[in-house]
Amino acid sequence: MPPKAPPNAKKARLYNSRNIRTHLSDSSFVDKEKLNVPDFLGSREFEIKSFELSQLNSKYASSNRVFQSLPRSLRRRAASHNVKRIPKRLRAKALREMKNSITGTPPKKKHSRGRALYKLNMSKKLLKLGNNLKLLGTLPDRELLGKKLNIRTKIKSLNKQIRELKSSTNSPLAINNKVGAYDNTGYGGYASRPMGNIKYHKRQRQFVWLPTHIWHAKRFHMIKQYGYQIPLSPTQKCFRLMSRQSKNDSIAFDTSYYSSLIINIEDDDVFKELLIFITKFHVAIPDKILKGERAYNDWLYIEGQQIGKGFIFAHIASHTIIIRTFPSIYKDIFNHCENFLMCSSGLNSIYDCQYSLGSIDLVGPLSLLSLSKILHIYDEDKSSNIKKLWSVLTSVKDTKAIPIGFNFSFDIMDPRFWNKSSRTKHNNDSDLDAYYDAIASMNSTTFLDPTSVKNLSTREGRTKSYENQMSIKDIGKEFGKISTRSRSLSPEILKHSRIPILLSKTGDQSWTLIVPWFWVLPIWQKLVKIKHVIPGGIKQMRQVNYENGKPNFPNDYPWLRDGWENNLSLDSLNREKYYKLPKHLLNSSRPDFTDLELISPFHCDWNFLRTITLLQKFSGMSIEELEKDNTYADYGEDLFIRQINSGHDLLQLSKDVRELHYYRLPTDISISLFDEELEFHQKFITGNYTINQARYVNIVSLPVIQISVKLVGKGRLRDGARIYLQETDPYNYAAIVGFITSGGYNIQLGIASGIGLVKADISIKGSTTLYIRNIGQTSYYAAEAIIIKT
Amino acid sequence: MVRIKHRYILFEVLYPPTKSGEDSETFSNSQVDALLTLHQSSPSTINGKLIVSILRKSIQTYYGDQGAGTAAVSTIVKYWSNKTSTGIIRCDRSAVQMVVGALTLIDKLDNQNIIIRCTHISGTIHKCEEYSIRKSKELIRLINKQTSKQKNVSNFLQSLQEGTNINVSDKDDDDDDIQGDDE
Repeated sequence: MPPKAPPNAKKARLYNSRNIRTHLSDSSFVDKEKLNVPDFLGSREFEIKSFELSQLNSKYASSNRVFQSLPRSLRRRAASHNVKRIPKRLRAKALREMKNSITGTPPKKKHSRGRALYKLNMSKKLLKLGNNLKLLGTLPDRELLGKKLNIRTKIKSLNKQIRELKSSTNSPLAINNKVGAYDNTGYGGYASRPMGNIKYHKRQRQFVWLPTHIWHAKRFHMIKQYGYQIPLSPTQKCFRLMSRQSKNDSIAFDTSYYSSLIINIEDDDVFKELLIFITKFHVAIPDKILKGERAYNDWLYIEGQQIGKGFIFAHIASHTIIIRTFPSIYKDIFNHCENFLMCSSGLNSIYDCQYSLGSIDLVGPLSLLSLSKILHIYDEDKSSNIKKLWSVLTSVKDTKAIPIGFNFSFDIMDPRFWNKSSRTKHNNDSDLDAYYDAIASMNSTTFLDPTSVKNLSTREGRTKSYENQMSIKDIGKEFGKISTRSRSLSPEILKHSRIPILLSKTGDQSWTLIVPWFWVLPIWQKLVKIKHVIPGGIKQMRQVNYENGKPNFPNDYPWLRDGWENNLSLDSLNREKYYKLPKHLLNSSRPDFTDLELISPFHCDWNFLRTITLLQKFSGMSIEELEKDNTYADYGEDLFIRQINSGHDLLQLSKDVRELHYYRLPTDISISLFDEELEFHQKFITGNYTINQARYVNIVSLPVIQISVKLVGKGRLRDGARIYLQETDPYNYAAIVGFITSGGYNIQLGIASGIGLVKADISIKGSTTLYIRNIGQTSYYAAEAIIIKT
Repeated sequence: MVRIKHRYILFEVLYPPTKSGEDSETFSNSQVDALLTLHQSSPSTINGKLIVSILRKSIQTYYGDQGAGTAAVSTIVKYWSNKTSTGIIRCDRSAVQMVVGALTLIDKLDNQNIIIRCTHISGTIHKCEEYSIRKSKELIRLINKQTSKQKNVSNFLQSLQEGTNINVSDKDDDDDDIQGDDE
């Protein structure tokens, strides 16, 4: 007899789910017999059905709240009592559940009293006033929000502003839309910081928010860097997901923190001169770059010194240059260009567009395809050629035929007017022919719409694009008027907004989309809804670069100021962390930890490498001679400088030499990238240079070359690992030839790999084998090294 | 916070042909025959309780008292079907090897010579069910294919008799029994 079913409905459901029914459990009919084919098939099918039924039952037996059936990425912690955390389509059901169940009702909120109540009321008032101002079409008074005024004064001045507005129609702070979008460009100086929404402006005083900040803050860990709040990494684990996406689909990054500046030069010669001034070209700029067909995505130079990588878009026909760089080197480039313009003739102007041009970066093979789903070209006759070419080029998934540096510029319609993402229509009959034609015509025709270039690069153009920008509420109202089956709004409304964009291919599979600041958020919102696209943060960018073997700015460029400072800060942070450890954990018998002043185990110690190499040259002894050990120290005429008779002397002298002074200032950065044209570097690689005094080591910078390494067999690589030519005693620090700047396990290759720098006099031909030892470890791993051309 | 982890073993009871039994002649005739003979339905005397008791005896015999104390205690039959002779046993994670070993060494159930074959082991019953569904579908597909082949062959022979030309589509008739189809 089967056990009795429990009377309680919930328990009964649980019990039933655990009971899998079998075919004909009646005893009288079943016997051992060879079944014929239809019976056999029938019994098997019944079994399949009962299994599937039991699976269904058990799935819904225990979880009985609607938020538990959501996928992992949509679940929120407080969804059980806070209905707003559940997606809109399930909210009604969740409310019903909460009403019916006893435990589901949210607890009664205690309302605050006294001071807290007053504060809440005041901030509510402030928000309301801010909103009123927005609806009236102006921005709040700038000075008011910058100072540390108390909330009553703020409300008073906002009220005053509203009264003034109502009495007079003109306002200096008027804007042409109701969503608070305006063009924040600096002319004759840097741009002032953006204010943002009144609700959040206090938080933005020190660090500027990106246009998509609120969207990212809900889903990402944020980090404060370069004066911006930048998304660091998604809150959910995504290491393997990101590596798969970068190989198969695409990852989107909000890179509005990359600052841009726009230069207008009327004179063509001065135009070309400026470009030669800051780019790698010495004599002439290639024609394609001048016309704007290709963008320059390479090193920027100040006085012949490399300072960092940047993006330059030049359009000689409209006399504009757009330069976009990393925020830490932006001010140097800006000042440099400003000085150049002041010295040159003609009508020139420079605009600071840090907060008026935003950008989105996409990485991965399906980036262009995803973009084509949301970018709808503003349909006008003159750009119909571009529209045709665009639809043809984006119809093919493989974008390798498009050369790196290729630029598109056209006007698009507001992407929010489309309900669902859709690919641009194209004729299916002559697909491949049309594609080849488009590729062939890439050299002759231009994909740039000059009006949209002008609109993007001028203040008036950008402000015009913000005219009557619709808010989400307005769009919702419009969608309510049309039938639910249509994909987009009616054609008259589609032409409501006209957004100028610039799309450039910056790498093998990476694209940059530059748009006006307040249009980044609408495009972003539609972009991340596409199935192929996943948003990422700077950690993911670093991961993608690392997995493709590309060096990452700034940590893989320690010879640049940014990379050097990054390295130093790593040292100080790790050192602090180390000293906080309890004494018994400070193991100073490990290699690298024996003498913390000699070589630092907390970062790549380039000072040490430079000192050791040059002192070795100074001593004039070979490595074998240095192996022998002296028992006593010998000081020559100079009482501060030890004579080098052994390896030990060499190491001790390297410590003393740091305090020595010479009449020239010591170099800030002790390494420099190997340059064939420099005389000292040429002498260095042959070994024909001389160091006359020990003090000279402080003013010479060591030439280094950048390599990418891959371990031959098993092993681990970490940042800061030491590179050797042969396996030697791990305590013999003089044998180090370089360091790994970023190392780890490369999930795409399946072995540990890394990027590092070695002394330039090591000859690396083809692929040489080097030996790498991690910090604090004694085991060596063999690795293949290849030079990276920077 | 310690979670006791189990393993779910999907097994089936196969009836091998014996020398003196009825099945021995027809067993090797075709694949379908072989399959149907092996996967016979079990008599109603065999149920979950019987399997558990025989399994425990088997563990006692082959693994001794220690085995009986650890493995045999927590084994239960979660599902058993007589028609298809398949079942799912749940046991402790540490005792899986013992249980599987003891299962395979069982050679008689209720005076029938049987082979117990363990087809799948997994941590959740869900996956065992899924695997069993896949296997059953595969079996159904095999049998359907074979029976349709046989039908083709018999049609062909019939047509030969009648003297008409019919195209037989499949070329590889390796295990067709021509003698089985009588005129």
